[in-house]
Amino acid sequence: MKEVVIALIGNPNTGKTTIFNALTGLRQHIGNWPGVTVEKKEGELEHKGMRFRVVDLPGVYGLTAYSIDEKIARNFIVQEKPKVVVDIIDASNLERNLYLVLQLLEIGANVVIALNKIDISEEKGYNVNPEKLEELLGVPVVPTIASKGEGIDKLKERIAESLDKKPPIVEYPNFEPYIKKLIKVLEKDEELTRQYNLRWLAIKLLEEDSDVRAIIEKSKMRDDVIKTLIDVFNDLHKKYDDIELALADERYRIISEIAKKAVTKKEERITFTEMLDEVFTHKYLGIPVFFSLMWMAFKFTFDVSTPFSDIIDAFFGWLGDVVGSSIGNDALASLLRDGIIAGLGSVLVFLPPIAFLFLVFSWLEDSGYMARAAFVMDRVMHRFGLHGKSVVPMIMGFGCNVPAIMATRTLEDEKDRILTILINPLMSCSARLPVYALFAGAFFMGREGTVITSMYILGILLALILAWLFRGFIFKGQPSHFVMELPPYNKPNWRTIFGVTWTRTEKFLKKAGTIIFATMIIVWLLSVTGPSGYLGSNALESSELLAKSWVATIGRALEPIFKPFGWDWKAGVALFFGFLAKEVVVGTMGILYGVGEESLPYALASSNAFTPVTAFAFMAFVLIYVPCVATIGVIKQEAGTKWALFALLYELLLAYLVALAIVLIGGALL
Amino acid sequence: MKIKTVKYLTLIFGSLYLIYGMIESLSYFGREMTVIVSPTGDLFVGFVLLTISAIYLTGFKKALKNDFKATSYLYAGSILSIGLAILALLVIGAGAIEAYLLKSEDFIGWSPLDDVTSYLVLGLLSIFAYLSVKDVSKKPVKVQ
Repeated sequence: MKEVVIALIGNPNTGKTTIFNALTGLRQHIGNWPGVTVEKKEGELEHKGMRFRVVDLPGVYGLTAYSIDEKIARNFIVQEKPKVVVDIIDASNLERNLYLVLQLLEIGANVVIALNKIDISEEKGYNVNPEKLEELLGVPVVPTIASKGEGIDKLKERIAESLDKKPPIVEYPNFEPYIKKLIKVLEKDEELTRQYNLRWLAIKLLEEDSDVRAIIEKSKMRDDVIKTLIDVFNDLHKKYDDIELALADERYRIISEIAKKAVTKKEERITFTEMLDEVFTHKYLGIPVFFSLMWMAFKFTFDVSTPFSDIIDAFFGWLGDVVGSSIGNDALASLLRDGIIAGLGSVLVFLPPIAFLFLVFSWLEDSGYMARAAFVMDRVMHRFGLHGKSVVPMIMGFGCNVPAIMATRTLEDEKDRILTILINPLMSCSARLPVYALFAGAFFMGREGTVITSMYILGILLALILAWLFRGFIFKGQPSHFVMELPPYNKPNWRTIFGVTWTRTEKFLKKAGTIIFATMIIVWLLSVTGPSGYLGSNALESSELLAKSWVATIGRALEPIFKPFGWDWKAGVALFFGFLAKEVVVGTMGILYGVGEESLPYALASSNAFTPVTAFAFMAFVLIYVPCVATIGVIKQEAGTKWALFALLYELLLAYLVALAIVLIGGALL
Repeated sequence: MKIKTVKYLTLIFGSLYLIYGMIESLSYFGREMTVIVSPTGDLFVGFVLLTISAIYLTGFKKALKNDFKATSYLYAGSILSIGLAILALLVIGAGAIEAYLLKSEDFIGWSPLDDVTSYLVLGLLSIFAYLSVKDVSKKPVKVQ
């Protein structure tokens, strides 16, 4: 059976993936486009004895080849020449989607249109006439509702029928004489005539497309083409300041005429997405709504997860007692009870809030709100010298800074990217949560939600201020603007939400079982031993004995640094080990205070080592000071050693200054 | 649905949320005022209630101008209000687990009424606002 290559293309969020899945079923494979890490999906489709290889091209708005996605899509169509290009267009947003159709026709692609989301366009009060659209564009138009699988069989049929059809020519009246003049010269090169659509080459030459210019440079007609092009430009510049813009205007004029004829508006209707967007992306209301939703997310995370934490807490308490009383060897019993079980228990007790946080964030992502959050915050970002796309890694940073820093790869400009990487560790990752929850519970009972939210806000504010400073002094220049696509709001898909939540929670569990576990053993070992040797398990219950341990030695060495904050040496040790993973701070404190996770807040509150002000300063210090080892590693990988060291140093300095400011100002006020 | 209904509902709910938002905010600064339910003393509760009030009142302002977009504010406001009430119910559920299943010391003598908050009551009332607007995409608002 002969295999025919067809390509799927469309604007983002038009339902391209759903149609791809519907056409290919399970016969799909995913890889990367050669040379780049952009996903390449391919699948197979059999219809009436024909086998099609379906290539899913990246979602693009146009084929100007400014971005990597556009380059991939354009190169595939120009070089691979698929037999049919299926353009999935959103019927509820016809005009914007038609721009890509015109560009495909310019290339000479054999286009079949899947007019998707006709149900949504109906909901909006539009009546799109597929037959009229087909007549006006000269290409087959198949109405579909991909989410319900409607129209897919018809689409397969029309693809098969269109295999050897000749695509129509889109004429641009104001530019036709110039296009024809250029074609006349271009067609003298047989190689160009054989390989490319000359009309497309001519249009792209008028747009000063660098890739097409490079093609012409290699042509034997190069000099003639350039001479003609100069003449054409001389003529056109008398009429237009910007030829590329004038061509775009010409396309939009044609699109507008087509839309006017093919679409009738029934009545003024509004969709739920439009209603929510009217408010959630409102110029003034958008930001307070964002902060309200964030507060609700954190309230859910902490207040609703508490009973589950208490169950884990009770389990580890029981396990510690059982293990401790059933092992005769003091050192081994202490290692298991006070080191491993107490240390690990004090970290795992935060598994429910972390899982709940991931759950609520997955739900916000799945619902489509996160894209709105990015959109709303985009305006703010720009004021602080950040690129709009920086918002996404920043929000991701609430989960974990490591993937968030890797997500900065979507930023094209190197300055924007490094700037975003540098401020990302200031986003409160889930590992800081146990520390906040512990201290908020111990010193701000009844106001935990507010205090914890304030930590998140502090991180965001510091990130913005630093971005502004770095932009002013290090990365001079303006960040570029970008157009953001807002997907429609979705009903929650609980399978996806729970799947994402589990994947993220699993990472925390793995970390708890490796880095945190190992650190807890080290902390225990350094607590029950000292320069004089093994001190016995009593060291964890007797402050006199503990004072002779190695951890106390480390703590005292650090004490002068933390003295201005009023913290004791145990806090210094916890921060020292917290460098490995922030969750370790809590585990270390659990061991040093010689209590289980249940009693730790009370032990802290009654230790006199902290006041509410110094506790708040400690939380702020944990938020800002050195990111975990993994984060530093990924900064080094993404930005280089110089910037990793810079991040380390500036964060230490900033943490010190902010904590000091909190202690001084808070002390003066209270 | 008539724009007049939108006008009344946005005004009523906007005012209710404004009053309770102010009560919650003032309670944070130590001024206790109990109207039906005791305030939580959480500044963020005040902030969220005032935000919802602002949404409803913006809708009211638009409804005064016969702008059909006023419906969006009634819809989004009621969604947020109900979401907040669901959150309050989940918190009560968590409290019930603590008190009746785990028998936590902190929850001795706890009753579900202890966790009834202003945003739970207002959120439940907002169901009426939501019901009035939930079919607006099928039955567009009449502005005349």
